[in-house]
Amino acid sequence: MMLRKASLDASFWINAYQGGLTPFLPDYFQLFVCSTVEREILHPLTVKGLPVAAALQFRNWCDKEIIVRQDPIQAVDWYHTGENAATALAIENDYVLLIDDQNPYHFARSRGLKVVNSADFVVFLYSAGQLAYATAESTIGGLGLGKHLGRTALAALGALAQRKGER
Amino acid sequence: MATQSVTKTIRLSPEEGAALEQMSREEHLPETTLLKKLVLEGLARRRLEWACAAYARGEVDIGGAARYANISIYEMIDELKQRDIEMVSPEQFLNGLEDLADLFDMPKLREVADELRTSSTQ
Repeated sequence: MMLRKASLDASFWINAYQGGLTPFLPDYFQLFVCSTVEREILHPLTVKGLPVAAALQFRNWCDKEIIVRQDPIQAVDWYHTGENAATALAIENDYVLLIDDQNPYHFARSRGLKVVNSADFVVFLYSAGQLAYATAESTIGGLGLGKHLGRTALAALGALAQRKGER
Repeated sequence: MATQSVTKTIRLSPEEGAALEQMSREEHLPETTLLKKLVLEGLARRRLEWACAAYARGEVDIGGAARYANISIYEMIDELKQRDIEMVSPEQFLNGLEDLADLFDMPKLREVADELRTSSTQ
């Protein structure tokens, strides 16, 4: 399957790590991260000295260039610096934007970006046969998505399961 | 460089003063130290509440909310989840499924997104 280039936001990484989804990311995406997002993800390590697992894995992947550092030439000025830079990087390079933050979302979509969140990725992995139904279901539960989104994500999973003949 | 500080004065009722005195004894802290601690804790709590409410109203993103509350993005995400404030709307989720369907040529994902969108509008 062809890898898609994607700009990573901290919100997506943190949730994806919590849901155990990060090992699947390199199978589908070539990941790029800008320096402001990198600082946000590494904050527990660099500022507080806390060995937070999501930050450790992120640093490890950056060191191995599984995640490539790249900054936008010109940041957009919509929201907070991290989200702005991640969005600008996606716009400048026509990357997918991986983000779990609904407020900058509309701006990104209005610029024609493809925007994917961690709940989408769980359902996608089930559709692709990478996760069993029960695992996908429990992962959605574990992401702490909130009532409405959780219900919609489970409905999507159920509809896909019917099409696959698994339910 | 010397750290500058400012002095703030508050007036308390006799009952409030007695309560502060009692807490000061219980926590083995001088009253002024306890007062400062309580003020700082209260400020932090109010800033966090404001940040979460502003996020829920769509006024700030997660990074901005975290910065206002003076916490990390990790902590902000936890706070939003504890308050059941959604970081992604169901509509955005369905759009994302469609984007993934396009990106990786998975028509079933698009079908499901269309189906759920239709059922949510009925």
